Amino acid sequence: MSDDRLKYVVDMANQIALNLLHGKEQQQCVTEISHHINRFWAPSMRAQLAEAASNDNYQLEDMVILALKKIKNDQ
Amino acid sequence: MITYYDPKTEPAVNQSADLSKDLGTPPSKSTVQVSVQIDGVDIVVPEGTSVLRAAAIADINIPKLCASDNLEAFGSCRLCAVEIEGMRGMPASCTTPVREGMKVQTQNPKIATLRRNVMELYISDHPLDCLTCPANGDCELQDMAGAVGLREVRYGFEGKNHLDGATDSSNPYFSFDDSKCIACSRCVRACEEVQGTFALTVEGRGFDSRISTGQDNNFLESDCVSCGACVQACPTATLTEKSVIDNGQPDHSIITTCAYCGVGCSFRADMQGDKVIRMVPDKNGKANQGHSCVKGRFAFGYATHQDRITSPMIRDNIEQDWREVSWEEALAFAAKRLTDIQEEHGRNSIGAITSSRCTNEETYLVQKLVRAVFQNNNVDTCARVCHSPTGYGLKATLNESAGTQTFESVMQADVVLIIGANPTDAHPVFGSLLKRRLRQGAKLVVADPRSIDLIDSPHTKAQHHLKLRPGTNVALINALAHVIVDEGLEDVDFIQSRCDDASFQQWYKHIQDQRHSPENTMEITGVEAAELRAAARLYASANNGAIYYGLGVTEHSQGSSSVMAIANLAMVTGNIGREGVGVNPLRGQNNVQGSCDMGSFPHELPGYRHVSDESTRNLFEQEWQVSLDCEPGLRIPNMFEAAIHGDFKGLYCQGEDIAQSDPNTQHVQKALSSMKCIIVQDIFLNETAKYAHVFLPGSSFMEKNGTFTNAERRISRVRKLMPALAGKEDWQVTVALAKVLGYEMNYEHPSEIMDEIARLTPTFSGVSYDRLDQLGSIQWPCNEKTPLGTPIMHTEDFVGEKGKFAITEYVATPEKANKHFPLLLTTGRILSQYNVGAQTRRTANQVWHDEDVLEIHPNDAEDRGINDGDWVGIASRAGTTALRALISQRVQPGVVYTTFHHPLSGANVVTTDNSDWATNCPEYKVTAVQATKVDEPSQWQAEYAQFSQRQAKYLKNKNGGEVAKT
Repeated sequence: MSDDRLKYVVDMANQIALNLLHGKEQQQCVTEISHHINRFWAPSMRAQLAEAASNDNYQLEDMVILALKKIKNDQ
Repeated sequence: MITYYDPKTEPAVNQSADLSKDLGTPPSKSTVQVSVQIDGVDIVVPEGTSVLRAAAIADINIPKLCASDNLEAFGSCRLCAVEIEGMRGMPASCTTPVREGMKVQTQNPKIATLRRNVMELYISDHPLDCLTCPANGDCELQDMAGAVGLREVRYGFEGKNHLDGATDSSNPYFSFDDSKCIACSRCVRACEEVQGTFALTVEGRGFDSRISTGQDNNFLESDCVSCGACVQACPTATLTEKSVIDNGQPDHSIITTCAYCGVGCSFRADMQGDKVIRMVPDKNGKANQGHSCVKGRFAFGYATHQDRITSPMIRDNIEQDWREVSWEEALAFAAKRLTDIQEEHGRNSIGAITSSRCTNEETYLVQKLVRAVFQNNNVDTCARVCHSPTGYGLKATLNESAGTQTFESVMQADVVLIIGANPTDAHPVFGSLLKRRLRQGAKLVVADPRSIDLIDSPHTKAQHHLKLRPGTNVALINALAHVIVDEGLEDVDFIQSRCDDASFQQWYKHIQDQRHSPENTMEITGVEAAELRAAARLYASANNGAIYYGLGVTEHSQGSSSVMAIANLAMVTGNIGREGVGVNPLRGQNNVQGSCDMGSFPHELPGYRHVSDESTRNLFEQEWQVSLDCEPGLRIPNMFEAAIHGDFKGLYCQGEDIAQSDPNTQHVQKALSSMKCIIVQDIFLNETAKYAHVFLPGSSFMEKNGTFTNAERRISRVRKLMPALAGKEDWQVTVALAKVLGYEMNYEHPSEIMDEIARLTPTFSGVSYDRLDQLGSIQWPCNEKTPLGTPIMHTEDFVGEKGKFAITEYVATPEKANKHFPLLLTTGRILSQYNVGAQTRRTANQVWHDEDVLEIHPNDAEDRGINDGDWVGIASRAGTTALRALISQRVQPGVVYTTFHHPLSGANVVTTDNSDWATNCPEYKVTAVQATKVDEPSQWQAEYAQFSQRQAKYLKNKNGGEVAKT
């Protein structure tokens, strides 16, 4: 898996978080991010994001990390 | 007694009313009815109706020349003179309104003599060349001479006359023959009242009165926008289509729908056999009401252009000559490649892209092919790169992914707010309607980084131009909402009764924060706080405030946030759910709405139902007899990423030119070059086809049956005018490809595809070809509850729910100007060209715009030593291209602008991969660039030119010198 590919999904996820984290409690924000990723992302992209989350080279927003945990827990 | 029938008060009946007959003057809007007697016939009509119109309603046809029911009465020809009991003389019936108890006589010897005398004067200064005149058989002057019984012209033809008047043939589509002009001024009034351009005038007085384009210009050099309204209005052969002059009068007509922008104009195709002689806007068309623009009216010649490819072609790799083959061989070749790829790389390694240029039925079949045959959800549509944020944003707030109004609704608007749209160029027929409303007194607010024509055009001036910096829409719209809340201008009743309270309270708290105030956002947007406050007050205090927006809203990193912020604005002011208000996305292409409705997005089945919804999936599984994937597929940009990284290897691309229209061209080219099989179905060898292995010839809108859905949710029929040049209509090609892949799609006609759509989609359940033929067009939802369709959405609730306010925080785009890239490039369209230009570049529209240019502010040009017409290199973080400079005050300092209608321009070579956070819609509207004077094309342009030359050679060699197989 190339770095570019993971960076691509990391940037997308962080952008989603930046747009959804305002004016809400943390729980609502995490729910909205996880819902968005589940609803609009292909499974292969979600897998790449999970891979990036386990790699220190990528800077995922805290809310994205929490959303990923929620996605995993909900499965 | 004949009772006046007002279509607008009886929509159920009006749906099928024939408006073709010219009733002479426009209808009166009065609700007061008056009784009159005309030639002994009692008739009741609204107060203010002209005698001419009242008579025509009773089928008493008074001769007329200067009158038409799409123009205000003028009273110049005097042919419609009548006698009215109690009135002196013989007044013109067109300018005389009915009165209660009025008794009118339209025929008697005295009137007949007067009319003959009037006609005699006209004919004494008119060439008597009827037999060789291009209007022979379609000439109102000729008809009226017959109607009044003109038998002689006593004045002779020797005196002073206009018979040697010159002909202006400068316009590529029509000519103006001054010798045939009767100076009735219908063309002038059509240009003013219908089009709103005011390009024509009557010059001189009395005998010297002539129609003029002003300032001694010819038509081509004048302000004329070639909409054709004057040609349509002309009662003689003075203004005539050159196609009619060349070919003669058409012998039959077929009603169809334009394949250009999202207005979706209805046209009457006037034909000789299977040849289209002219396209005339259909007066019954509810989207365009008998008006048109230069593209739909005249630019249809591309359909039979010599560049059309009409035989299937294949090749093993893209640096190889094409081979013309039979349909069977091409489809077998394509099927084997797709099957092999899936076997080697997995089920998800292929997908398809549909197009908003295609019909509903075609896009429906492509997504069906992907889901049922490819067995994945890797299907997307070009709406991804234009209005996908509209689908997302309106669904999230208003609970439906569509605009809320009819176009006609704007005639009830008191304040119109236009954000990031340029209707007079991109949606010209709606632009004309809007200008008409503005001339009636509606106020206009425009939010746009660039000065569009509407801001200052004849008889229309915007009250406020919020000239924001590119990329700051959300900050601006939030500031408007902040003012409304801050100053207590919200519609409390609407919010309480129609909106979700929890979401409103959360949003209210958010938007009240002072960081959203115009004073604080001024630094971000560049818009003066006082101006913004005044604009907010104007919109919020209007009886009816309507918002129209375009790609200047959606094509941003916060496109979806902007759409939701617009919906917030409409809800907080109660401007939704009735005529004259609403949230109105101006869709770019003809069938953007339809392609989205048809389930072309990778996460949704038709009718915007998520693929994870089991009950919906079951419905389709039963109908299609397959099991369906419950996970979303890849979007277009995701497909490119996956292709570059080796996971996505095969693409079926119908009617969309991703190589030219998608951002960061080099990235797209790399993705396309990485695939093993690209199948392009198109009418031309477009830019994407240069990377293709299989070319399946497509059919233009003239060669097939189907439907388009316009920006009003209006479903209209596309009717076949001529046989498909390649032997198959597009839907048949998809059916054939499915069959070769082992899946039968059994349709004999596109109407059966629509029947299937209706069976499976609640919002379409009442739609059928029979009903479309009966009603003319239908705005969805159309079902048991609304069998005639739904012109205005959300009149009582938001599709069974409350409206939801969305928090839309401004987040700056990562695309920043800096010392290396100090300017912001934004992109748009021009009237005469359409999108990537594949169609319009193959018409005479080229005369108005044969190359894309870079608009640059005089200050920025001076700083760089750039003069008008100089070549300018435009460099961004993504790439470099070169365009000629056009120094213009339309753009603000620090902003440059171009269009993207010509491939060699490489506008998308400089646009970046940045995209909307929610939908991946590309951020075409903000690219940081540097502009420098250069003297040669960019490296990309040079390489592209070489690549294109090679591809042209591969096409030329397609038969290896042999005759094509059929």
